Amino acid sequence: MTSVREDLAKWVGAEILPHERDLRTWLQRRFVAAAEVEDIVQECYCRLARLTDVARIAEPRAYLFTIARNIALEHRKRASVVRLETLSDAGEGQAGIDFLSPDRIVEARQDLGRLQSALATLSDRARQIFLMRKVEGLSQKEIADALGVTESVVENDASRSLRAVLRLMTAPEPEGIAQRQAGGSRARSH
Amino acid sequence: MHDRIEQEAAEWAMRHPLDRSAQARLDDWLARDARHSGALLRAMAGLSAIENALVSGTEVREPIEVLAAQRPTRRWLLGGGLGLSAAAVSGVLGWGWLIGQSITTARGEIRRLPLADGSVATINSDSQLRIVLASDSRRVELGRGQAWFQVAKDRTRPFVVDAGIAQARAVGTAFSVIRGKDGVQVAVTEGTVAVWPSDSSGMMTILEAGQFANFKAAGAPPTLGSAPEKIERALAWRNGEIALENDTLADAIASFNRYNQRQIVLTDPSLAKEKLVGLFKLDKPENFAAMLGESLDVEVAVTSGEIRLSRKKSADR
Repeated sequence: MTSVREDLAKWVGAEILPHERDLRTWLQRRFVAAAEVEDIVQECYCRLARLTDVARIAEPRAYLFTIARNIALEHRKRASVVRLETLSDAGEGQAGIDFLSPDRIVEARQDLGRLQSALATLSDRARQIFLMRKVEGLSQKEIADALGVTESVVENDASRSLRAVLRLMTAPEPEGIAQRQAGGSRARSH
Repeated sequence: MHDRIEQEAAEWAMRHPLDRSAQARLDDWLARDARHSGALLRAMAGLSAIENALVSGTEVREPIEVLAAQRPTRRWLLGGGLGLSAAAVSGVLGWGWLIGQSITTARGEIRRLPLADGSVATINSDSQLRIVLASDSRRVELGRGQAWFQVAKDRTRPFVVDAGIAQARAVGTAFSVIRGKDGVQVAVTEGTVAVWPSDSSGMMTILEAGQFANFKAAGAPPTLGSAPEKIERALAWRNGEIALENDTLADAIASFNRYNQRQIVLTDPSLAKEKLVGLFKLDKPENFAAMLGESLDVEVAVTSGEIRLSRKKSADR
C-alpha cells in the first residue's frame, strides 16, 4: 500500500503548497518562533495526509490556515505557555478576513510565478530527471542508466533539487524573518 | 531534525517504482515517526507541482485540420536542450532478445491478438510484427504495416514499439503505429506515449490522446499534430470498415486495394481528386464501386480480378 496517494499529492501540490509561504509569513507575524513554525507546517501536512476526500474542501487556503491555527492553539495549551493574543479566537476574525481577501488570492497567483522562477534554478540534469520520471514513469534505475550515472547520483540530485524548489516556493518574505526574530525574543521573554 | 526528515521524504518521493522490499522499508519509515507521512505528502506535492509546471508546456490544445499538418515542434519537445537523447534511451531499452512471437497478416486479414500480459494488438492487413514479452520489458518490432496497441498497465515493464526509424514507449495506453514506405506514424487514442526518432540526435516527444507524430527519416524530429477525430476515423479498419471524410477517390481506392485481392483500377486520372464521404465495408470493394457508379459520373466494370472505374462517355461534356 502507498500511504500517500498520488491524487492527494496532486491536489496538495496545486491547492495547498502555493499558500505555504503565506502561512509561514502569517505565523511569523503572530510571533510564533521559527522552530515552531516548522512544527506547525509539518503537522498541517500530517493532517492533510489523513484526508480521504478533498473534494468537499472548497477553500483550500482557508482550510490550511484554519488547521494551522488549531495546531498552534493546541501547542499553546499543551505547553501551558502564556497564550498569545494574536493566536487567540478573539484575534481570529481579522485573520479570517486576512487570508480570504482578494489581494491575498492575487498573491497566491503570484506564487505560480515563484514556482516558475524556482524551476529556472534547476540544473539541466535535475530537469531531465524530473521529465524522464514524468514521461510515463521511467524508473530511477532507467534514468540513471540513460544519464550514465549511478542511481544514488540521480536520487541525490533529484531530492536536493526538489527540496531547493520547495524552499524557494515556501520561504517567507524577508520582512517576515525580521519580525520573527523580534517575535522570537519576545516569546523567550515570557 | 526537520532537515533529515525533509531529505528522507524527498528521497522517498523520487523513488519509484517501489518493489515489495522498498515498499516495506517505506512503510517502516512512515511508522517510525508520525511526522513522516506529512513530510512525504509535502515532498510528493512539490514533485507533482514541479512535474506539472515542466510538462504543461508540451500540451497542445488547438486542433489541427489534417494529419500531415506541420506544427512548430519546439513546444512539443521537452524544452529545448532538455529532451532526452535517443541514444541514451535506446541504451535503456536495449534488452537482450528472448524468444518472441512473430506474426504476419495477409492482404485483407485483420487480426486481433491478445498478449499474455493482458495487452491487445489489433493488426492491420499486410503487416508483420514480432512480440517479445520479458520480465522487465514488453517489446514489439513492427516490420511493416500497422497495428493498434491497447497496452495493459504495468509500470515495471514498459511497452516499446520499434518501427525502424521511430520508437514509441508507453506504460498503459492505446496507440497505433504505422510503418509504411513514406515513414512511420504514431497516433495516440488513449493516455500518453513517448516517441523519438531511432537515431541519436533526436529528442523524446510526449503525445497525448488525439495527437500524432509523423517520422519521415531516421534521426529527424517528427512532425506533430492533433486530430482526434481523424485518428479515430483512420482506425475504422479495426471494425472492418473504411471511413471516408472528404478523402480523395485516389486515397479511397488505395485503402480498398490494401485489403482486397480484387483491385480497383482508376482508368481516368481526372477522377482521382473527387472528394468522398461515407462508411464502407472494407472487404466489399464492389459495393463501394457501385456507390460511385450511382453518385459520380463513373462507369464500373467488374471482372473477377479487378474493378475498373472510368468516366461515363455519355457524361462527357
